[in-house]
This record gives sequence, structure tokens and C-alpha cells, in this order.
Amino acid sequence: MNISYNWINDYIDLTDIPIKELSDILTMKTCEVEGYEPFRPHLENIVVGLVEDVQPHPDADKLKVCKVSDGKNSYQIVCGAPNVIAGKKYPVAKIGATLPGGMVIKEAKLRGVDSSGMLCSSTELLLNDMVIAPGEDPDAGLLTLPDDFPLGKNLRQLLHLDDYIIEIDNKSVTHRPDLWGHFGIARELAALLDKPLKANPLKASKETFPEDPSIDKALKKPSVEIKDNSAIAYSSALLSGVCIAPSSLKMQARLLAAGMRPINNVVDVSNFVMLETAQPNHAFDREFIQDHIEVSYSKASEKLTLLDSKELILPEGIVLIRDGEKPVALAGVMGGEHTEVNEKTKNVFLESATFHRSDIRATISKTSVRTEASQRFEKGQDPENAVKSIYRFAELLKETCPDLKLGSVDLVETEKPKQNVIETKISYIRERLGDIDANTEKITKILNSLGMQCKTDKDDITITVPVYRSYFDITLAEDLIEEIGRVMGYRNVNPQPIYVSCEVPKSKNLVRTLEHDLRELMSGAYHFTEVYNYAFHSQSDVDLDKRYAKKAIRLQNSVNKDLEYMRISPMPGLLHNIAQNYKERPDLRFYEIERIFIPNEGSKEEEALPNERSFISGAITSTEEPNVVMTSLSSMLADLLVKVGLTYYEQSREKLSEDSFHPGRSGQILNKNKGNTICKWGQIHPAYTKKYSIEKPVFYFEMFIEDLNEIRNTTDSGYKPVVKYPHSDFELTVLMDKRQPFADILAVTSEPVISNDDKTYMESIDYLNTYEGDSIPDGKKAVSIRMTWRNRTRTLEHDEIKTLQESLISSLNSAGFTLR
Amino acid sequence: MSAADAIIKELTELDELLVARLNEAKAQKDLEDARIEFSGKKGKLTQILKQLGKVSNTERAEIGKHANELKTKFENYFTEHTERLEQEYYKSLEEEEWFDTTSLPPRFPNGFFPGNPGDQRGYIHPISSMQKRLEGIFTSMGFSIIDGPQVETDYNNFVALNFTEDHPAREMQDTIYTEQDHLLRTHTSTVQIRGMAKLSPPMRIIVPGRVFRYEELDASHEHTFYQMEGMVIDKTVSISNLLHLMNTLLEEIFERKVEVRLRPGYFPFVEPAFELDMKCLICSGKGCPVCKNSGWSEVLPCGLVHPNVLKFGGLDPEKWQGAAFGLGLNRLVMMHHGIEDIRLFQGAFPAFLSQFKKY
Repeated sequence: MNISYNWINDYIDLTDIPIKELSDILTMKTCEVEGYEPFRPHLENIVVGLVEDVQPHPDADKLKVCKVSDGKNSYQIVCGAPNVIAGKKYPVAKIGATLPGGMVIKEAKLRGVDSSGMLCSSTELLLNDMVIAPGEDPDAGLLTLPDDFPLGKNLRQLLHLDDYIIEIDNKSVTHRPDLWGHFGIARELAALLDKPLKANPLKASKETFPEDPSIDKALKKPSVEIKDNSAIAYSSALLSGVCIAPSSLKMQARLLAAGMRPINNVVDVSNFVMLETAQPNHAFDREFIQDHIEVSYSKASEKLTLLDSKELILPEGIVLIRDGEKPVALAGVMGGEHTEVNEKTKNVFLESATFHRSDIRATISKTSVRTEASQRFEKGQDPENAVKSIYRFAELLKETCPDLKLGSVDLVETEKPKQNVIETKISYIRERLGDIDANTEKITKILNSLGMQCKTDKDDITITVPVYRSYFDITLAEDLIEEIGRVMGYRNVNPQPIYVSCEVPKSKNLVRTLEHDLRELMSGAYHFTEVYNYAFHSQSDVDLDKRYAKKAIRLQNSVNKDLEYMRISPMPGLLHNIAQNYKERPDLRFYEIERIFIPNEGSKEEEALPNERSFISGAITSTEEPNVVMTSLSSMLADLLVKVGLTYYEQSREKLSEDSFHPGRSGQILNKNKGNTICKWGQIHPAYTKKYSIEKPVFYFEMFIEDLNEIRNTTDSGYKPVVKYPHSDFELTVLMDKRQPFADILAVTSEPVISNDDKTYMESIDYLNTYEGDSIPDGKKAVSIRMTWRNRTRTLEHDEIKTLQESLISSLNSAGFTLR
Repeated sequence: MSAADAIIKELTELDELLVARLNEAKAQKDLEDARIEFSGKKGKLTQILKQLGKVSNTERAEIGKHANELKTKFENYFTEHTERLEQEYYKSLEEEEWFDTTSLPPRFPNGFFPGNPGDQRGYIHPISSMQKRLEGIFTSMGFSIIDGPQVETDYNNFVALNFTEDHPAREMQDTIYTEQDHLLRTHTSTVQIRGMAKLSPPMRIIVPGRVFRYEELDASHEHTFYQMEGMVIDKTVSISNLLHLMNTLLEEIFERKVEVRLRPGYFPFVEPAFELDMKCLICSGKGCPVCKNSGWSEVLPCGLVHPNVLKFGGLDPEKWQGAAFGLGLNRLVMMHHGIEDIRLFQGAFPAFLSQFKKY
């Protein structure tokens, strides 16, 4: 919202409050000022000049040599405009002036004739949006100025444009309907600065503009009816003697500063009153409306052509102004084309109403039509302003329509304006403010300055809120605390520690600790880089990864069509990351910790929320041989699971058969204790990576945080007393079928166990290597393993070792393995 | 046999020859070789067509048409066979590219992954690091870390936070909706309600997490970003208390004395509501381009918990009071490192990510 400094100054004296201070006061005490800037500063160098004489240029048919006076000096200026006439006044850019666009006026010679300055057109001065000299053709060439403009005077001042524009963040005044007009801001500043108001447009009434009920009869005043409580108040009056003309320069300048374009006196006054009082209004041409105005909700498929000539098929249930049956305006948003004020308008039916803000919001969201008026109505309005602004409208229009008459002002209302009454305690206010010097006297003084009446009785205080702050604004004691705090200045509040009981956090977030630990491992120990990916999939991501039985959740309004679905697989995000980088960097290791969203069913909104599962996934591309990478990845995953809490031998490893994975190079790791899969890993199927335009093997793993959290072991450290006796190890090489899984060997050897008694046990079994070469028969491979045995109470005897070895060999033999 | 007939015969033979050749192709390379030999620039087809000079114009047109058809036919052969080889390759994967994933893996050497030397280190995302640091600061002050869902109900995101159905502030936060009419949470404040339901007062919680807004991407706007909500509920909580908490927090984050100021803000779930500014760390308040010459930078919104929100959380506003604040993690990380573009946080940009070691 743009606010004009000069406009504020119309209601409160700002002579000792420069723009910067004004902006700071508003920012610190009321709302966020996004910035301020001088309005049309380029006009500062432009003055009024009189063309005293015009002579033809000796060397050019289209140029003229003018003698121009600024009241003090006379200049020779060469000019090419067709409409330059001796005896008329025009804007002059003197030597040194800068025009919009950056052109600096210098001494010049035009076709051999000296020229000291430039006569300007309205386009050159960016003044096309103002009517400066009525009756003059604005497109004729030079901007002709009114004869009564004083010579040599600065045009910016004469046009009332020597102003500052203050930009206020709309969001910061969402809860302050009263601040949506210049007067409201002036009233606020009066309280903050402890200054009187110079003028109050809301004092407009019968006294300031008398009614003439005779015109109601003559023009047949339409009757008004509010149906189904579709408005809070509807005030209206007829105005006769309207003549359409341009507005005064001052009014035009005010509207422009506030960001609206002047049109004609009636439209301008209508906008001016809204920008002044925050109360929107609408002027209908009396000639085009029938004798009965009705406010009511729309039925299905009614139609209305708006002021901007757009025909709208109206959604059901929005508030309309009807002329009899026919819709003529979207209540509180925009008028219809058919009934609008035009060049010939003589009599106006003026509406000034208050609607329910929920209705206006519904209109905005159902029609997507937004206007300055709707922006104010959706915040809520002071219903008392409806009547007042009709008198104000008449006062202002009278300035350009001397014959203006106002009929009787009528009001139909469905509820009376309210004033909130709040009961609280001084001690409560002081407690919530904290360490600040606030006594009863100070508190009541501030509340009074804001238009509130206070009654105190010892610690009790009863506050009556003015109507203009009673709607959607001040309703609770907490709202008053804000008022007192901000007016006193939050900078006067001293910090004070909150006194709390000495206790550790009530709830421990083990998942979060796990996630951070995983990051330390992934980045610190395994040298992966963490990436963040969006929570979304494209259609092709969804089509590709078919591992999930349920369909990904679709968005109603995705930001763009590549982000149409909620993520249901951890895989595509990392593949996009690899695709983006692998050509430049052939060795990549990325991981991600985030969530996927699995659709859920349920009758209640809350139950039907998707199941959000946190995962950790990683992807690798490498310049190494695939099997080398597979081995490293396998080791890394085993190590990671050990560090999380699942020992080496509590992990069991199986083949994986999923479409997205390479059928030869993929596996899963199970938690042996529970039997569930906790990790899927391997190379991604080349057909799949190809769809992401990756022409290199990509290795991948994924785990769900909940599974990892389950294996977390924070209580049992696993410590066993250090053994003094040596272990005995034994290496052997088994000849097996080329494609026979290692797991078959593990099925024969018993699992490593630890025993504290006088019992010999197998402490570990390790895979050493695989050999397929010349000395190995076709279709076979030689796999070497190492086993260690130990007894915690003694050194193993030679015979005992031999027996152990023999028994192992014999069980391998009987399982069909040959030893080498 | 006329010259034209001879050419046609040669073309037919060429077709048969190619079919036979392609049927024998075992690898992509074989297809490439055949393509060069048969339909390459100096290939057999071109050689045959060189004889066109010998035939009449009408015949030439006819043979030309035939040759063009043949070219298309050849192209189709190549595509078909590429496809065939690909399918054969996929079928062979299980046998030819077998790796025993059931094998016990060798112990991880605690070194580096095999591959190119060069930058072999790994990095933690800067937002994760900042989050961890903040969690540490808050945990040291007795705060619990609570998580909530990213897909939420209108109730938790709006209604229970005092955004009524007709509240104009709903417009402030452009929301993304799922087809099930759930929404992607627009702030981590949703967990105020969940937190109050989970823990009993007095309580102190923080909620780090991802949030979403319907927003076009540019250097300073993201539709996906990270926040950390904080909430304190106790017997009495004043503006002074909030100010002290924020001061402590910022001094811990930036590891130096900071100066803060509160000014009025508006958020329906707190009353009074504030914007908290911190004296610009770059110019110490003198005014510089970073703080837009104001001497202050906007850091976080905060306020005292609105009584309606306490009620929605099942607490009696007569008995309990609260303060709440929302930290923007992206913004904080950007301020901390002087990062210029918010889009670098999402997706993989190694040149960006590898600049963050650890705090």
C-alpha cells in the first residue's frame, strides 16, 4: 500500500517530522514500512515559462526559434513542436535539468541556431496521467500550462507532486482495517506523536453538507433491501447536479501518489474517499438502475459484465448488488459495466456499505477478481463509516460540481455497530509486558490516546474499544498489551531470563540423534556428500520406479509440472543428482536423509494423512570396475550397520530381485534377529539409469530410519573381558559352482558365538577372496575363507584344533563342496 | 538387362546382405560398423547410386524413390537391432555380470572408496549442520526436539493456529494442496498444536523441518525451505522473557554480542506479535548494502502465544502462558556464510556443497 506524506500532512501537522522519522516511527510502533521515495523528483528542475515570441528557423521548416521568459531572464530556445504559440505557458527544462531517462539539458546549436533549454511535452515529463490544462489537447505536442501558473515556479510544487511515497507492507496491517486509509494512519500518528488532528473527514455529516430530500422525489430514490443477512449495513443517497469534469490538480496528485490513476471527478472522489477513510463506495448512474436495490447471494449461473468489460459467469453464493432481479455489481469488489458513471451522467445513486468480510473473501477466491475495495472489505470495516463517507463524498464532489445536491442519506442495517469491552487487570498487563516501567497512569494515558475509554478500580481495568478498532482487531487483553507495548516502545523492555525448573528435555528425539550420527558416518567415514532433494516427483519419475504398490500422491497445484507428485521413492532424486554431475565428475558419492510419502486411507482427515517414512539413501558412480565398487559398497554397508548396532553376524545377506535393480548385482541385508530387510543395495538396472540419461553404472542403497532405529543399541556396550589366551585360525579354500552363493558356505559352518565358559567356540568367519583362473575347472570358482577358534580359559590343544578342522571339512564335504 | 534393372537388382541384394549381417551382430559396435559400410557417406548404397548417371530421367526418379525407401528401411533395421541387442544385454545381466551379494564383505578399510584420486572427502549439507548446532543450543537449555508431518491438515496448519476460515492472513501463505485436500505445511508452527498434545506444560520445544509455499523460484525465493519453530509454555512468560531468550540464542549462533530490537508484526497465532531485527553484523548498524542501509537485519518473527492457540492445544490460558518464534534455517545459513542464491540448497551442486566442512 502506498501512502502519501503530504496527504497525511492534510490531517496532522508534520512540519517537524521529516520523512525518515515518520517512517521509523511507523516501523517501530505500528507496521512495516518497506521504504519511501520522493515522488516524481524529475519535475524538480522543470519551471513554468512564457513563450513571448516565435520566429521561423532560418534553416529548417519544422523548427521554430522561441523567446522564452521565466519571469527573470529570457532564453532563446529552438523548438519543433507544432503547437507552440506566443503568449502561452509551457514547461521549460533549463540548462542543467535532467529529464526522465537521464537526458541532461545542455547549451546546444540546432541547425546553426543557439538553444538554451527545452520546452517539454507531457510525455517527456511523464505527466500523461494528469489533466493539467482542461480543454487543451494533451497530444498536440508541448504541454500547455494554465495561464494562471506563476512564471519561473517549479512545476513539481505547482502540480502538488512534491511529495514522498511511503510503501507499507500490506501483510503487517492485515489486522488493522482502520489503517487502510490515509486518515486512519494520521489518527494513529496523532496518538503516537501526541499531536492534535488538523482535520477529520469522518466528521462529515448533515451539518457539514445539508441534505435536500426534494431530489429523492424528483429522481425517484430506489428502495434498498438486504436479503439473508448478506450485508451488515447499506447506506445510500442520490446526488443531482453532477457534471463530469477533471478533478483538481491536488486531488489528481494525491491519487497518483497513492497509486491510482485519475479518471474524472466522480470516479476520483469515489477513490479519494476510499483512500482517505478506508471505506469503499460505489457510484451508479441513476438513469441505468431501476427503483429497487437488493443485496443478496447469487444463484447458480447468473451473469454480470464488470467495469473492465469482462463477462463473468457468477459462482453460486457470492454477494451481489441487484437492480431488481438483475445483478449490477459484485458487492464490495467491482461494479458492473452497464450502470457505471459516464460522460453524460447527471444524477448518481451512491452506495456506501459494509459487508461480511467472509463473504468478500469468498467472492475473491471464487472469482479471482481483486480490487482496492475488496482488499479493504476482506479486512473488515467500521460500519459507522458507511454513512459518514456519503457526506464526505458530497463535500468533495461539490468542489467540481457547483450545482451538486445531496438527497436524504438512508441506512439499512442488519446489526448495530459494536464496541468491544475488555475487562482485565493492570497486574496482568504488567506481568506480560515484563520488565518495563508501566504504571496505571501510563497505561490509561496510552489507551486514551488510542481512542479507548478506561475505567479503573484498584487492579481492575475496563476498557471500551472504539468502533473503528472493534472489528477483527482489539478483542482481548493480549491485544491491549500489544497496544501499550508498542506505544511505550519495545526498546524500553529489558530482557529477563525465563525461570524454569532445572530439568533435562522432556522428550528425547532418538531418531534425530541417529540421523545426525548417520551424517557423521556417511560424510566423515565413508566420504559421501549430503544432498537435499525436493519432496516431489515428475510424472516420468513415477512411471519409472514401480516398486511401490501404492500410487504416489498427486498435488492439486504443483509449482511446476515436473513436481506434480509427492515423493514415493528415494531413488529418482539421487538419479537426477547423478545425471546432472557425472559427466564432469566421474566419481560421485551422494546421500540423502529425508522422507517419502505413502498414501493412507482413513475416514478422518487426520487419519488419512500419508505415512511419512524417513529414509537414508545413497548413490555412487565410479571410475573403478563395477565389482570393486560393489565390494566396497558391501563393506561400507556392513560397517555402517555395525556402527548403528547390528553386529557383523547379525546381518544376513541375500540376493534381491526388484525391477529397478540389476538382476546380477543386487542384494539385501536382513536383520537376522527379526528377519526383516533393512537395506537394499546394488547396481541400478542399466535400463533404468538409461532413462535418466546416465550411461554409466550407478550403485545405490536405501534404508529406512525406523528399521535402523530398531537395531540401535544404546544400553548394551557388548564389552567382554579381555582374553589372555590366543585364538587359532584356519584358512581353507572351497571349490564351488561359479554362481553358487557364498551364503551356502555360511549355511554349513555354524554361526560365530561367544562363550564365557570353558568351551571352545568359533569366534569369526571371514571371506578372503575368490579366484577363477587357469587352474580352476570351468564353471567353478575357488573361495577362500578364514575361521578363528578360541577358548576363554585356556590355549587350544593341537588335537582339539585338528578335530575342529576335520569336522568343518567333513561337513563342507558332505554339503557337496570340494576343498582345494 | 537394362542399366536400371541392374541397379535395382543390386539394391535388392544389398538389402538381403544387410539383413544377414545384422542378424549376426553381437554388440553395438557391430551395428555401427555395418551402418558405416552400408549406409555411410562412402557406403555401399552410395556406391550403387553413383551409377544413376547411366539411366534415363524417368527411371532415375523411380530408382531414387526406391533408394529412399531403402534408406528408411535400413534405419529401421538399425533401431530394431539396437533394441534387440539391448534386450539381449539385459537378459544376460544376471549371468554375465554376476556379483555374489550374499558374500560376507571384507572389513571396511576406513580409507577411501576406490576411484579417482582428487577430492575424496564427503560433506554434510550446511542446513543439516546449522540445524544440529541449533538443536545443541536448545537442548542445552532444556528444549525437546519434536518432529511433525510435512503433509498436514488444514486444522493444524491454520485453524488451530487462529487462522479462521475467512482470515485474510491465509492469503499471506500460498499453500500447496494434495488431491486428498491435505496441504503441505506452510510453517513448522503446525507442531505447536502437536507438541502441546504430546507434552504436558511447562514445556519447551523446538521443531526443525521442511516447509513449503507455492512460490516461483528465484535467487531469494524457494517453494521448499527449512524452518525451526520454538515454543515455551510456562506459568508466566513475558515480552522480557522472549527478548532474553532470543538474545541468548542469537549470541550463541553468531558467537558474539548482538543487539536486537522488537517491532510490531502480525501473525494470527501470537499476540502481541513481533518482528525481531538484529543490528547488522556487517556494518555494526552504520548502514550498508546488506541491511539496505537500515543498520538492522530482519532475523525472525516471534510473539507471545495467542490464548486461542493455547485453547486449541488443550491448555487453559488462565493458567498457562507462552512464547513462540520461528527461525528460517535457509536464511540463517545464508547470513552466516554470505550465500547469494537460495536455489543452491536443493539438488546436488558439488562446487557449492564442498565448501562446507563442519562448524
